[in-house]
Amino acid sequence: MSIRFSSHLKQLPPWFDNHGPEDGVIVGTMGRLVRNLKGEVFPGWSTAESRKRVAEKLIPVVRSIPGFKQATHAEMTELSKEERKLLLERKQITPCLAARQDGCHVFINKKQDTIIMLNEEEHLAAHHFAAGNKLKSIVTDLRKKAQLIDKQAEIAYNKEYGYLTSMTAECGDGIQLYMVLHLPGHAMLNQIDKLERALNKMHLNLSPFYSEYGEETSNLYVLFSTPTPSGSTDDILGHMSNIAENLVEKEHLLRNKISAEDFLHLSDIIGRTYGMLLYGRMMGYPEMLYTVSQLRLALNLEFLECERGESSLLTLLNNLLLMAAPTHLAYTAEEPSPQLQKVLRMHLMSRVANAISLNDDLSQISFPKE
Amino acid sequence: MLLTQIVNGQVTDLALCETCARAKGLFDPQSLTFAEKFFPEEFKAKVDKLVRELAGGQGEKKEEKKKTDVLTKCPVCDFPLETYRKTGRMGCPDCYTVFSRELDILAAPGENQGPRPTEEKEDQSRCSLEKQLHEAIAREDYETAAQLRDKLNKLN
Repeated sequence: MSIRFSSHLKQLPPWFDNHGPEDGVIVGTMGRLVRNLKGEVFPGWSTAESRKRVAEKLIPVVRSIPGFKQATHAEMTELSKEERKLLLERKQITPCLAARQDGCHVFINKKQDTIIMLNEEEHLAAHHFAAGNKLKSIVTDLRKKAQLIDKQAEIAYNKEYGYLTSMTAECGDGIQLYMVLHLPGHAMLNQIDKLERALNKMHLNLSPFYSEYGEETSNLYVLFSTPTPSGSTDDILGHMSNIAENLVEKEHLLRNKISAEDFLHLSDIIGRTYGMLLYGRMMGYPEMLYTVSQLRLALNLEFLECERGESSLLTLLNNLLLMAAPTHLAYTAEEPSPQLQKVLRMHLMSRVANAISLNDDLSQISFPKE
Repeated sequence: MLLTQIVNGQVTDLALCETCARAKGLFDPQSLTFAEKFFPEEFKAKVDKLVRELAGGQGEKKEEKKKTDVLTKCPVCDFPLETYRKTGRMGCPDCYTVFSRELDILAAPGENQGPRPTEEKEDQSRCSLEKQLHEAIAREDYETAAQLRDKLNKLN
């Protein structure tokens, strides 16, 4: 079944639609499983014929995976530039696949929590997403998929290096783990560089989630394991879970520290954000990313009150990250001008203003008398 | 029978089975020591000849293996070694064998190789190895046959 974008866009991927464990800091988790076929050239070095041959071998394998018999599917040649951008914004293809043509395919399951790409960087790459911290269940799910794939296809495996991949440093059991973290506390206290260096020493990397809009706009960062030398997926899973636990704790400490030591500055930021939601008329996407980050922080520190509950507001903010993204907005509003896009984005954001109110501490702030 | 020759600091090791050693005229190790002492020139010439014979006699396979060590392109996919050095990428799974010497940067063996492909796969590879072993014996390629035998033993 090919991708019908009109219906596909109505449902949001789990990263953007749900809330999960520890989602005040851990926004979402993702696992990537890769496999390559024996005797076939890796996609980055192969010809269109070779990619087509690989796809012919792997499509029946993908279809045999539970949830993928009826999954939506597209060959990259069938997708327009705009459609590719839409899938990129939804993290349902990688930039590498977005640039590919013949013999390159994407499959998306009904829940939109798992995608399988053929002839991306590797012959087969499966991504499984979840909201909040669900690394363990992701690894379990990917291992089940791996068993099915390994049974049905001639997989390139080397006793010494494990499953062979186009990047030599990524050989091993073919699973990599990612975690999206919201770290405004670290960012506001200029702790990101220090954190990055510390994580590197523990074979983990930290990079901005929306790097194209500047590093600190959204305060969202991706934590991921460096490949092979850091150990098996079980080791990495344990290692990442421990580190994430410490990070969550430290992020909350830093947020409370800012709230206690620099209340005026923080309340100024949140007050301005609230004011802009009430009275703003236009909003660019980077500004929106920053606003969403401040709102998440304010909600966590209970500077804001939400009638429908914290989790529903978090879901709404996550939704907006996607619905107000440039290509999504352009697609749903039938290519508005850049100015109209900003107006539409602001209109969407004003829905948040209707759902929240400032708490008493902020609304009754007193100013020193002259 | 193991024979080590050191000429101008260059070490040549030969490992021969009894039958091959006899076929090459090297049937008495003691007499070799004697020959080395009393007829050094003749002994050197004989060992040189033997080394040349073995290098040529074991066919192209050995030569191919030597060439493999210095290959600058993967013969399967034409992927240049230089590109691997620059990017850390390989062209195809066979590049891992062709450029094996370059791969010492990888993790220690067994650290992160994950579960092996299923038992079914092992059965398939066992069948394939057994077939290859019979073929190697049939064409009297005993070196390959020995390697295949060892692989099969490991699988068992």
